[in-house]
Amino acid sequence: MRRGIALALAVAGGAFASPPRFVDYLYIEANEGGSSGGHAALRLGDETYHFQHEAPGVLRLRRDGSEHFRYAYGVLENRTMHLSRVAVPDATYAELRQRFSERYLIERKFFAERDALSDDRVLLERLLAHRRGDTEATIRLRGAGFFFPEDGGTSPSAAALTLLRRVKEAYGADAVDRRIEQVRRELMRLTPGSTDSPTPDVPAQGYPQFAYPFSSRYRDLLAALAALEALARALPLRADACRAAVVEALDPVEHRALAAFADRLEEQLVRLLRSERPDWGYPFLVGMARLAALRASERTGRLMLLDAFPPGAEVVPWRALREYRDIVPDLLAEAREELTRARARLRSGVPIEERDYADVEAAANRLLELDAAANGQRDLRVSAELLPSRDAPWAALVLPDVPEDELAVDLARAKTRARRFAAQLERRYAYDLFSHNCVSEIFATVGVSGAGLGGRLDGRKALDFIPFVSARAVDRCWNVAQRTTLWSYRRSQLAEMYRREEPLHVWLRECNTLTSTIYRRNADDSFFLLFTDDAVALRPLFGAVNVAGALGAGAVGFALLPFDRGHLLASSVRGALFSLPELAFVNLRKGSFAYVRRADRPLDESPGAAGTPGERL
Amino acid sequence: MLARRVRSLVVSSMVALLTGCSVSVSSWSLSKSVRSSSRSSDSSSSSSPGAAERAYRDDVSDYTQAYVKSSGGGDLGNFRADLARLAEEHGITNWEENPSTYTAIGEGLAKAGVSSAALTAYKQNLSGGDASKAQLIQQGYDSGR
Repeated sequence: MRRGIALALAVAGGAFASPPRFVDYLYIEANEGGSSGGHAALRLGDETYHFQHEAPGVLRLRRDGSEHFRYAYGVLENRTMHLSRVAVPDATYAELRQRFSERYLIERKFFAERDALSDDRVLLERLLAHRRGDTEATIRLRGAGFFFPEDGGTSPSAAALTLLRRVKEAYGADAVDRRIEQVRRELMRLTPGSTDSPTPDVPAQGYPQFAYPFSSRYRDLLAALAALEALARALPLRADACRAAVVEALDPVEHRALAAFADRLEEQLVRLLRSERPDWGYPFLVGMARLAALRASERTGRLMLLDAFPPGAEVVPWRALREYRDIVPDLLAEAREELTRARARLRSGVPIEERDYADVEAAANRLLELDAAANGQRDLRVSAELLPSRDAPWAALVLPDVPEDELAVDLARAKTRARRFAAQLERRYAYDLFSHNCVSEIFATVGVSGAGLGGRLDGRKALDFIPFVSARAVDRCWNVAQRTTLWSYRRSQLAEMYRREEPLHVWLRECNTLTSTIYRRNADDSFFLLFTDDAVALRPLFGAVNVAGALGAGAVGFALLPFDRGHLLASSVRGALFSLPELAFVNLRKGSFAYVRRADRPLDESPGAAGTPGERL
Repeated sequence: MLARRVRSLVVSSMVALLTGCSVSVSSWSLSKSVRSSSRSSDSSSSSSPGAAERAYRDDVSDYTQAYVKSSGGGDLGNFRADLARLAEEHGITNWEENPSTYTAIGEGLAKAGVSSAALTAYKQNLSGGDASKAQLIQQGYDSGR
């Protein structure tokens, strides 16, 4: 309270030349599994940075939307957050944000290089196989899946024919053929070994500079070739690449907005053909496919969409979805709401841009996928990000003009490079519970920036590496002006129930997993009977019940081992282990949720939350 | 066989007790069926129009600054390739047609402290001879100083 007043006085008293910005240190309470040690994050406005322990044992800096972070950790993971807020001048805030953003970009570049080097190896294996006569050797080409492999017997696309005519008007009648020849020559001239410095270094500082990887150069040129072939032959979209959205027809304003966007897209594609971008083929394929979908929307008056799910998207099997069939209507309603929001931009009267269209496309794809899974009783594809990138196997590989034995040598070198670089990276970003974890790296990044948050903290000293302890260190050493607790989903629901109903009745009903109306059994959670996060005094007793319950379930699980592949046994063993700390008053497990209806989600009560006041997460 | 399986279950569970900083990714699989995770998407579903655009500009500006500071602005082919990946995270495949790209590049160049002479070279190379794009880079540069 005193600190809150101090903050208000500092702001009112003009301690800052301009309105202060806020830096929030978040300590997120533990839950079972990989999050049993708790977690820490730094919130800078609508961005939240946090270091996450991931396979293969590395610590990666992640950046999430703050609203999403709160939803994922506070609602789905059901973890209470403790927020310590520091008011800083504009310049300090900008400096800190820049540091985290730069670190994020640098790290992303390193891991992209690792993937590219691995792809060099894969591509060279295919090319060598092709050179040795294996014509079955193919590579997957991103964006090509909208047109290839061709559907038999379909007539040319009117949208593509118009685009082709405009290209010829702009650059000459033989422009496309000339460009095809040019790209083919470039592909043949590529030399896999031309960039082979031994193994790229992982520089200690600064944005890394690596040579343009062979596989990227090759794929970019091949995508350009695919785009030019699709254009030259005015290929129509594959029948399975475009679907009608399951929503009401376009109104006249939306219809005009999409038609105008299609016209602009057509002009942009003509220009893209002459772009200096090395990777223009992929955006051309997507643009051409979208143009066809947009023209189909114009023609039919319905929203026609490309399939925007990435290749290899995560799949929720139908049998798992069936267990949640009662919430499918809520999922559909929320997806519909998201689409309505995105469509509002079509009615705004302002010309839409690619980003606006992409939002409509993504929201409509999600709705369509859900609807198809629910009604067709099939698996559900899900993806955090949607951008059309459907790929296709490409067998017409253009072989670089390099002898076979040289290709074999290049392949051996590529394997060595990929392996060494990955090893360097894994060493550099290795997770260490004590010295390189989610706390130590936040403090290290803040420390380097010299941002005026208060005293400098080192996550490797004493017990500060533990998220819970680190939050106290932050409160002690930084100029924390406000502390807030953001309750987990279950705790906030409980509080509301205690206000509305008879408390004893609520407690008896909600203290266990069998009669709770808030919690619903989630396959991710280990076996347990009693919630202990809100029962401090009774925690050891409840813990003992949980241990006994888990052991009993384990015995049943052992008997069921041949039938359920050990699921119940595994859940019980984990359940017993995560109940043990409860005997010593320590709570880790809180239960988690696969989905929470929007109407049931807590309000985003974080101070300075970006959304509309009163809007649910 | 059975004993080995039980032993591996116990060991993996104990290891899980001793680790941290992870999230159970599968726990939001169903939620991914209706929403995205990015800052841009948060913004697009909130009441702050233009925030998605701001997020894109921040990223391009930060990236430009980091790239130029480290490389001295050497290879623009690499610059374009990384920029393309960044833009895709914001739902943009054709970044050359997005005016914010050029304003943000200008802002990043200013933050990196490039000289007026260097700015002229960047404008020339990145605008592809399009005066309006060069003008946007200049505007971003002026506002970022």
